Amino acid sequence: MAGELRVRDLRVSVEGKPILRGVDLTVRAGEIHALMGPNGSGKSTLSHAIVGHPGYKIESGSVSLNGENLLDLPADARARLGLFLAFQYPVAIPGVTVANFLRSALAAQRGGAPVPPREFKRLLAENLDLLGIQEAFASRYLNDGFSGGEKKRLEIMQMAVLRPRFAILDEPDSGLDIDAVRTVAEGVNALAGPELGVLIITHYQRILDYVRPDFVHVLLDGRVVRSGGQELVRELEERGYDWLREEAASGTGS
Amino acid sequence: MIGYARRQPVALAASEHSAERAAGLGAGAVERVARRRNEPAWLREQRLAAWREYERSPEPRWQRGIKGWWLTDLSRLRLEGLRPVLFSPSVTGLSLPQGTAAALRHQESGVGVAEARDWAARGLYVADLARAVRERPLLVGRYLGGQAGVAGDRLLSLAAAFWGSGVFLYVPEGLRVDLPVDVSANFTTPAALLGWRTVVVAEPGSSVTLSEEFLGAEGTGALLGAFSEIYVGAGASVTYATLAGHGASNTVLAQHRAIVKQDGQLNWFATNWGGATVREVSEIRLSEPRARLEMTGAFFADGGQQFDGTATVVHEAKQSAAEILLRGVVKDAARAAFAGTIRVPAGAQQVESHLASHTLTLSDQARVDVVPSLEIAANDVRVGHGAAAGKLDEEQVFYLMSRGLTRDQAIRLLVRGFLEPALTRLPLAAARERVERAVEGKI
Ligand SMILES: Nc1ncnc2c1ncn2[C@@H]1O[C@H](COP(=O)(O)OP(=O)(O)OP(=O)(O)O)[C@@H](O)[C@H]1O
Ligand SMILES: [Mg+2]
Repeated sequence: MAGELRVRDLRVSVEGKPILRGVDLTVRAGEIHALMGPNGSGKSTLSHAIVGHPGYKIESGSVSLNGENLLDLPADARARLGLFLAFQYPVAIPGVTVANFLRSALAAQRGGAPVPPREFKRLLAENLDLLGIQEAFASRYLNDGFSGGEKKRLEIMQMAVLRPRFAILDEPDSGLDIDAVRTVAEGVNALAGPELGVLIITHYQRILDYVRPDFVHVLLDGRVVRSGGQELVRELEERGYDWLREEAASGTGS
Repeated sequence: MIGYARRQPVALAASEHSAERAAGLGAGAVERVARRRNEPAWLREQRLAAWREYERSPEPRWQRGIKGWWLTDLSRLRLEGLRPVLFSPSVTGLSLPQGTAAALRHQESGVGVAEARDWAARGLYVADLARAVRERPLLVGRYLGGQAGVAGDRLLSLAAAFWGSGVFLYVPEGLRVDLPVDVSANFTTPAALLGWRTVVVAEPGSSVTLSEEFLGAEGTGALLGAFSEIYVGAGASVTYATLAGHGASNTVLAQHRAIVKQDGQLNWFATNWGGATVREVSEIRLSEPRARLEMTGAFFADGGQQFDGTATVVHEAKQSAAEILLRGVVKDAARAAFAGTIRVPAGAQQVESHLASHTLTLSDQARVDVVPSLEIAANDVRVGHGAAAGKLDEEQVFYLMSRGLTRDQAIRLLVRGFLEPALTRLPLAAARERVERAVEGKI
């Protein structure tokens, strides 16, 4: 299958505890999907499992990118195939500057060829600007002492530099002030296009007002219990998740 | 004969005489060195005194875990196979490396010297030690051995008896040398006994930077005993960097001593990645008010390397200040230990002193121990230490891998990042790059 990220009946456990209990999801190039769901429902688990975090054990199911099975590949190989995760909680790496890190990452994406300094400088400046990040951040240590919002911007900024084919954005809006939500959303929109597939995980309607998803899914207790369009966001905003829980319990979910 | 046996711990020869016969070591050999070099009587006497100390001193027991030799395993060292190496004092031409005030290159073939004439004209004196003894015997005599001490230390005594070369750097009062002095020594003789001595004298109000780099060939099985004696005059500033990439099978014993006078500042940078067994003992005396020390250490031990470091700062005077920053990485089956001591005698008030050590362990077999100790007899002081020991952070590795870096690339970036706070303090950019490359090669 060309141009799609495909998750089939994915079951994942963490430290022996089953978290995902059969997730199906397909994101095609050019589409934007939103994934919502209560705290602890498994959204971040799904994103980690897709990009290959070794701490998440795949019990069964499959994940493929453009027809290629991802589950046998380490995280770096998946990234080089064009997969990207903007982390909900990016880690800090003292001693490694943002610029140095991005230069290494970009070179790795390009098969190891060093990035010409001039080109790198331009890319860096352009994309810092796109996300409204001061240039001085390039020489700071990665996420070290960054505010919550600064980390989120930097995640999207990395995506802008690395240009993935499929991006999972795990709560890129949480902790952001009102203007920052718009900046981040505009950044995502600037990158969106027929070549890119996006799965955006969020709790809030606000970012979805800017980044208009084609599809919306709800994850509950490790399963996608409902899928729909933008209208589902509004419904969740009004009704919360209890009604879905009840439906799931009585087996009438979609 | 090679100075190393493969595995078997080997005892020293039972009597001094057999050791002497085998290696040509002995009082007579010491005399011959002094005579051949036409050394002044005081220097010959220094050598002989060191020899007597060697004879008197107990054999270090060749296993680790004993007092003062904690962790150091010298079981593979064979003294009887060693030959003293005296660097040919002949001076060969060398072009001055860009951005330096003077340079020395020690090779087996001789010592290359280059200096910028304007600095020499203003009184800066740099020479390999053997030449300095010939040219400025009185000046050298005032400082050489003024701080170094070998009492009870058999191996250092041996190196002091047979030292072959080193550096003598003298900066007259008020002269501020704003370009670094660049020294490197390449030890390639197999089974050599190498004695190396560094003396830096910064007269009041002067400043200077010395970068000293040691390199060695693989498999030379040498014993290197290195001494440095640093004199920082009142209001003077000395930056001293040692970059130690010793040959992989060498045993290295280093003794560093420094004294800093009123308002003087010593910036000391010690980095080590080479050698089989390396033991380094540093003692810095802040002897007058407001003397300052900034000490930075960085090491990377892998394979079966053993690094054993000790640093002691003695705050002899009030308002003296010290900051020690250590970053160390161990990998494979390497062993490293660092003991840092801050000593503040009674009466040395308003002292500020801090020791921070961070270590990173890259494998399950590698071990590193940091032992800070504070010996404080004054009451109005701010003294502290912080130690952090860690393994590779798998979340960091994963983060980098999720951006496309291979595991190796990720680890390389993380280790470099870990050492970065220490390496950025290195004074010579070219030397810093060499250290970084050497470190990369190890990851
Ligand atoms: N490393 C871990 N160790 C133990 N439990 C874990 C681990 N990672 C996830 N879990 C558990 O798995 C469940 C799902 O967590 P996950 O982070 O995927 O939820 P989420 O949907 O992203 O929640 P949120 O909206 O709060 O971000 C939770 O119960 C969580 O405690
Ligand atoms: Mg989450």
